[in-house]
Amino acid sequence: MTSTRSTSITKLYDVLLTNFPAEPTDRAVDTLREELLTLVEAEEPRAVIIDVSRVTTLDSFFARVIAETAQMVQLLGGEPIIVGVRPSVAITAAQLGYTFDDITTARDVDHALETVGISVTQETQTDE
Amino acid sequence: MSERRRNTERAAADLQRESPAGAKTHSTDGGQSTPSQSFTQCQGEQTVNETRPLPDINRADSGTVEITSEDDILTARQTTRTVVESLEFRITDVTRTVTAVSELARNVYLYAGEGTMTWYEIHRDDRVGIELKFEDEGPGIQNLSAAVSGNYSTSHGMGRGLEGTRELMDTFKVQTSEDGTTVTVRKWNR
Repeated sequence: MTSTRSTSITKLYDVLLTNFPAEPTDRAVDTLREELLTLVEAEEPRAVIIDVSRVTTLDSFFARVIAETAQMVQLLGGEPIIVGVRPSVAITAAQLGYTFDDITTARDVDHALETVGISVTQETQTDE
Repeated sequence: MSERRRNTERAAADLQRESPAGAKTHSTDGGQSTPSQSFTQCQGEQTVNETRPLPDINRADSGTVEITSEDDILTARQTTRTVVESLEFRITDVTRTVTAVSELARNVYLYAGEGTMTWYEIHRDDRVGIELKFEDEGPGIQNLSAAVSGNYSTSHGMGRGLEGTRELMDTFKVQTSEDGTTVTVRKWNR
């Protein structure tokens, strides 16, 4: 099950960014959640971005884990933002009736960072 | 597994009603009894407690995945993805089918401990699709009509596993009894 272990959590300023793996085992999902919550406690981030753009299957177990993780981040004082839900996953999740009430969603990580007030400003350059 | 214990207690109540001999058994492993139930839904039409066969189809390729551990849920998903992608399902139907497989494979693992998933490439007229059959010898589903209508929840998911699967697939059939459960689903490429 080597392809399931590629979970990662990155710190960007005072925001934690985590990637959910594409095809995780249930155990890998549990492990990722524990690691994330431990880091949230230690780092006290302003926001936690949960990037699900690699997730191709969102069944009831993963949906519950993601919704619960977001709730736990809220309880620890951070703002959870779910980003990158694929259209096919969104269609399936809506058909199954999964709702992520009270959780901010964003199109991608850039969009998520903007919603918490982090953006990159660049000096105007002319490449020509 | 408190869910399993609850099932057993309900099963014990059923036993007393249906089989005086079995009512003496109160052990948690041997005395389970689930009345034989079935549920069929075929492209919108549904029946409960009817054992009519599904419409005839021609089967081509097939394969089996043994479900004995949590990791096998992943194997079942990956196998299904490979098959339906080779049948050129569009991405939304790939996702629907793989999501349904994940639910059903997890049900087998959680409630029966082990079982099998058998997939068939199926043909009817000029259409191609996949049939997936999940078989286990677990204690059976106590209240099938509640389970397939989403009014029955365990603590493991969002409580819509079976109902959700029904929504995602074209054909859905469950047969359950004290000897185990068979869930058959089909999805056609459109």
